Amino acid sequence: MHVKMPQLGETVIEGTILKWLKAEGDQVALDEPLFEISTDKVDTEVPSSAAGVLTKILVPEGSTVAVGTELAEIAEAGVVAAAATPGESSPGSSVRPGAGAGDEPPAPSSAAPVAISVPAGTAASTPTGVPVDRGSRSQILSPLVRKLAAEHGVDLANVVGTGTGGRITKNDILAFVGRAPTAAAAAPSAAPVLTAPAPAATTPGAVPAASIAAGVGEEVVAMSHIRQAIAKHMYGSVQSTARAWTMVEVNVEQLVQLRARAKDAFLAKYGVNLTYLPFVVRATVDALHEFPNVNARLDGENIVLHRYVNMGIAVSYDAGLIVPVIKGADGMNSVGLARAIADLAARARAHQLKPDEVQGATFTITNPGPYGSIASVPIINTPNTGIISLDAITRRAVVIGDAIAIRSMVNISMSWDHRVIDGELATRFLARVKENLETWDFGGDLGV
Amino acid sequence: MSRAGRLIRPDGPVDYDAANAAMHGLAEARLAGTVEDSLILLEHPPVFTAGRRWKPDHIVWTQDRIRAAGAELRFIDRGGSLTFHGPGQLIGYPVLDLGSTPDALRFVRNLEEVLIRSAAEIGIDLHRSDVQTGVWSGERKVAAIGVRLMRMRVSLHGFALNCTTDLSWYDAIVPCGLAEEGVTSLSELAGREVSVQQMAPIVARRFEEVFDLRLQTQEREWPTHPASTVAASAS
Amino acid sequence: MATRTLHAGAAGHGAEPRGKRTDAGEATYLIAIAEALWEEMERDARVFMLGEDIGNYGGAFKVTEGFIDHFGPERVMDTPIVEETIVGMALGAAMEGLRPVAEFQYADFMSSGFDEITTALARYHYRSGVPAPVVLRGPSGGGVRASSFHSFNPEPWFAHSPGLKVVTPAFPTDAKGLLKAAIRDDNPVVFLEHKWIYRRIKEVVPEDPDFVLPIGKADVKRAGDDITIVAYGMMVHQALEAAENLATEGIRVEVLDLRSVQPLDKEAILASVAKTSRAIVLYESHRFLGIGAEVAAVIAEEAFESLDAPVVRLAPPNVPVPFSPTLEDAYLPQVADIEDAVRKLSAW
Repeated sequence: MHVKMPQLGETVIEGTILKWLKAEGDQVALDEPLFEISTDKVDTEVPSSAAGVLTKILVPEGSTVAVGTELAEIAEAGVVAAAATPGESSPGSSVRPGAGAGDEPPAPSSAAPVAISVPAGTAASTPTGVPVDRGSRSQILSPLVRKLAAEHGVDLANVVGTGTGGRITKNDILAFVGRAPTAAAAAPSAAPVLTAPAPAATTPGAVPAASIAAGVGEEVVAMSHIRQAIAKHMYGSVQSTARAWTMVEVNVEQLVQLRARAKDAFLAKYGVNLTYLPFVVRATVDALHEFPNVNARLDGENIVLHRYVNMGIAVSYDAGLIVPVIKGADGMNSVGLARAIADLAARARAHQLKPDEVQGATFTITNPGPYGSIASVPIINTPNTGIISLDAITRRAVVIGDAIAIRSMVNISMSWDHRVIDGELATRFLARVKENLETWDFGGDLGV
Repeated sequence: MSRAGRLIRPDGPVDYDAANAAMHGLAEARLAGTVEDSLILLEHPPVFTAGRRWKPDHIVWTQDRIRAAGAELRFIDRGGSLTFHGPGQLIGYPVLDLGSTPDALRFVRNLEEVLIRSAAEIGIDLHRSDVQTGVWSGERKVAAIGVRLMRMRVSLHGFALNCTTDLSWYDAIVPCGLAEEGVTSLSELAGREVSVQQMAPIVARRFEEVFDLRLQTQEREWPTHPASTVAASAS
Repeated sequence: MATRTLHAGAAGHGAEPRGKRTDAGEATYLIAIAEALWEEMERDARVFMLGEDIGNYGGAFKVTEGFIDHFGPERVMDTPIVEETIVGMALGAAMEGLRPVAEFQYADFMSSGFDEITTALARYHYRSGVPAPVVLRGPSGGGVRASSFHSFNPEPWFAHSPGLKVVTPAFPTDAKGLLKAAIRDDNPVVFLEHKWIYRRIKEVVPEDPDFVLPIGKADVKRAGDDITIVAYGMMVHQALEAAENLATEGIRVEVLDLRSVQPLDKEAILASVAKTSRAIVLYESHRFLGIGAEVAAVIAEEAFESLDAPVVRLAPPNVPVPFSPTLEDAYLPQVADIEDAVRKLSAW
């Protein structure tokens, strides 16, 4: 069952967790004090409304959260948990069809998150109608609760009872129904950063069975877990950032010529292809050092400036989109960056990235240029403040002095979070990237 | 018809630690249902108490200086930050069962109401603040309120109303962490002595009114030996 | 027939009931009842009153003080202490086309005419096809230290007799409108006036002589979302006080005043329970087979799927009304008992 921040009065909207009185893995008895909270009016310890094992603490001490926020999970004997969300890496968990309803709960010393057990005879990943023992009166379902559950198609096993002895009351089921559409988004454990598919334990490309029927002339494809994770991340980013966009045109004639000259030797010497990305990364890293507010993330009411650059490089592959991260990109030269990019991209496509290789980006670059777009409006890889899009390099007529010449030009644009930085800063940042790309001598860096 | 409740009003200042322990014991008994709601009205010898939200820069004097002046310093489990208790200050510890879904805000507002009405009865006009718990005259605080719930049901700690308190004690701290607020007392506001002895029965009556209790059984010897507190309540 | 001059009685009465309102225009429950009687007597010459001490004495509770001077002894008729005969006379008069209103000094004494009420009067129309527009009225209920001969709640007996309507108002306006409706109703109506309310509750009451309220319709006296208390008579006032106290604890109680117990306003009861999902049925007649037993059964049977908790009855035990004040307080549901029941049911 889910432990939630209680409400100490109609107008009390949030509370701070002062102290967890139990640790993950501890046994908890019904009504035993579980944690202490402080609200702006009173402090109190909060007794547990269930007996079992405290399997997961979701909100740490010192956090202030809104009333109703899920704080922890308690696993009771025979209980069934919701399917793991894509944001959690759960290498050890798997569905065990055919397990009896009397299965033991996870051992208290195990560090694995909640195991999923399925009552005998069901093949679905969610239980069907077996009431769970969450307290001495959790099995008592009043006529109204039964009716509401039937009306709204609620599986009562997922509803937390706050009535005496754990009984599911009318308000519990109404609250459950009321917040069901956003229940998935509200789970604090679902990290907004894309995580890699758990290696070998699940098949990322596997498509679960479609849950709606196809109409005439339609084919229904259920979203894969990766797709769902991407969808959640993208939507969350658009919903939470104040996204603005700026673009500059960059004259990359020199870079084009440099690459044309050096790429064969580069490949021969280092074994990796030379693309434009290392140059763009280096140019961007410098600009990030010059304008540190762009290399930042928003944390509540604080802007956290990173003193290092972990550059996320968006890679598209068969399952969708993934963003491997070059850690410490600001310490690498073009060769190192080229190697890192090639390595990460290859392993991304082979589904061989490790979890920490797709986390921790402080800034992100996406490169749709090879596919032909000349300008894009990328979605910020939250919690970054900006994302740069490197689009296609095209030969164009440009004005130089009073003459028209043909030059290789590229549009480099940035989507940025207006909560953290303003237009002037964003523009100056991008202008610096442009200046770097146009004026630096990248050749000396290549060693060929 | 109001519920029956108990008034505990010991003579003379009561040691803070003994009172605190006995109050917790009484709250346990209230949780178990072996006693009815109680209101404890008393005074303490000089003591500074720091609640959960205290910060080191809220203590102006050093702890040595506090002890040298004859006061204690205690860190306790209620909300709020630092405050002072001492002779001339009427302390109220209501030990009430607020029910299984307590409305903490309402409880605190009711405590403020008790004190506002009590002051009004002797012609002093006090008010509450939208921002800070407590009872105020203008920008100055007359009564502090700090509450904790046991098992999210039974109230602990309560209020402290300055009657003839020596306000110079407040120089030792930044009261409740509020650097800009002053502290005052009923006597200072009235321009005459308004004592704890005078205010205690008024506060008890107003408490009955606001919380709809009939307070009986004035116990003048309290706390009794800690081990016997619960047994005495249960009998 | 000689008229007698009446001296102002203990209650300071003198002239017609409307002159006995407060300066603010409020009428007590008792005066509202007197106004209803006066207005209906003026409106319809067939209406007349009979009972013990209602004429010269002005009534045991002074409801009819001043009436005999205005309407004369044939329309405000003093009878001997003969309840059975009073009912018989009323039925006989009704058969002859009159519209009698019989007063019982205390509702307790109605049982002296029990057979005449439940066998003769109640079934008369069923047997003969001829209506019997009789009103039987008197003070019922306890809480006034009047002990078991003067504190009874007889409504279950009469609600159980097919053919009778039974009305139990709690407020002056309701009393006036419902008594006028009862007098105009062609059915026999038992109109029970709770004596505790007589002089304790007052409010501004309509003066329109045709102000009539429908018998059989309940009224929400206090709206709330969390728990319904269904009550009538003095218990409505207890419930309202409890509800006010409970509001400070965040429990929003709805108080439904039945106003009539036969017929019951089933629709209003079920609508309230559908909203709150929790019901306490509070009544003053004995718990066993009292009015609330019927209400609770109706809720359980017809609002089953609206219920989030069992239906709870709160009523006095099956004991004669005690004389000792302490015992009577223990007998009757007190405000604190109602609050406890509400809290317990909220936490179920």
